[in-house]
Amino acid sequence: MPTGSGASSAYAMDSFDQLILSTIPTTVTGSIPSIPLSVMHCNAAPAPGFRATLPSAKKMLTAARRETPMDQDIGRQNEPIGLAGGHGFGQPTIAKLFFLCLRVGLISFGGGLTGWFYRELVILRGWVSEEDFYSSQAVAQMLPGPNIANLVICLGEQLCGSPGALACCTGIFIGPFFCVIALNFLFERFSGIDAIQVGTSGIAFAAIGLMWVICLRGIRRAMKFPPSLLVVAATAIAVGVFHWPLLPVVLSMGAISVGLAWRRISHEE
Amino acid sequence: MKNNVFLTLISVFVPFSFLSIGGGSSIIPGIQHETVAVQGWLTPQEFVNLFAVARAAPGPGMMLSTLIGWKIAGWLGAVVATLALMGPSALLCYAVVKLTNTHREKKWHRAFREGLAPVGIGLTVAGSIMILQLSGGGIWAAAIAALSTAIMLAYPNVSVLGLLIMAGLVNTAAHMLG
Repeated sequence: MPTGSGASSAYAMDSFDQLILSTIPTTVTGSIPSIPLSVMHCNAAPAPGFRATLPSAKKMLTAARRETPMDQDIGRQNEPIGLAGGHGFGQPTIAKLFFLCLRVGLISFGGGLTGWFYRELVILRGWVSEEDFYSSQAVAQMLPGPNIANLVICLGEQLCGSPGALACCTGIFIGPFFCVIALNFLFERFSGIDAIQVGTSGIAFAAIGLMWVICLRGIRRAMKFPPSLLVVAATAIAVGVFHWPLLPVVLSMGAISVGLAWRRISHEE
Repeated sequence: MKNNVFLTLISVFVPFSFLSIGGGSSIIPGIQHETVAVQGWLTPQEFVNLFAVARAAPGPGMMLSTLIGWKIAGWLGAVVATLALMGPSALLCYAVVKLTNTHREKKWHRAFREGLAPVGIGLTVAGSIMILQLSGGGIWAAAIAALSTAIMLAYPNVSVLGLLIMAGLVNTAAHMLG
């Protein structure tokens, strides 16, 4: 993991950054009323470089801007385990979330949407911890509505608050909205072309693989606390094999699992 | 009269929004009954076609409501039907997240997050089993899925879009040869 190697130099750069920053606020923050969306960080605790990325301070602060990824590495060390990388993606912003959701919404054929978001947010960007992702997923599936919409609302809220949730939710729907109408138009014109149908089902098969990546990583993680493996297995079998109704299964397994977690946490303390 | 169409769309889809637990598939029979038998908007064949298109398109399968709205009342109908089915559940989810997130640091919230994680993993396993069954591809589908899983685990930076397109091409080629 590159995190460790980057950290020491990041601290050095960081103090340099602070030095520049200490001279900035009086000249900059007063003159600029609002922060443009595209550079707006939305984590609860903004990185030190945050206010410095205001437009009029651009020239002066190209150095500060360049090292924003390193600032994150410092923050990331305090995060829960499982944050793999995310270099070059920067901090989550409302615009980034919107375009990410728009892109995933547009290219996610065959129901592997959860897998896409796991990959983009947890593996590639490291914005969301594995545990937050899995628990958001349980909530998203338990509540009514498309799972993926609920999931991006949960994650968007965590990353960027209410505007984040709205941006994610809009982004995920706007692409499919036009796609589905366009596809219907094409379908009415050229219905019955076999190759297209076979091609899209092939895409759907591979998209199942995206879900399996989540499953495998989740199971590996659950192995740290063996009782939760039983919860994983029982939930999967009840819903996936026996097709028991989702709500009672989630409520009962959730109650057992939360109880186990409560006991474990109490034990640790 | 036009206003009535939109009001009917809303009154049809809003209840389904709250009933769609576990995603869209649980409410498909209900939507079919409502739009085909009760409202008489669509013939059974038209409904099946719209359902197939909604599944083939990217995005959630519940975009079926968009197509129904579009079929009945054009662009505005599509917008109204989409919002009527997606909006209420989205607001409910937002309210739940908003109400619980302020307690993130508390012990019970941590227990909930850690406790619900294995349930979420189990549901994903279940979901992948159900999608595999729905896709009707059998062993062949599982083989393609397993191969792409292996590729993604071995090369985490592989282009997923490229991988999906490859799978589509492989499936088409296999279908033509077999």
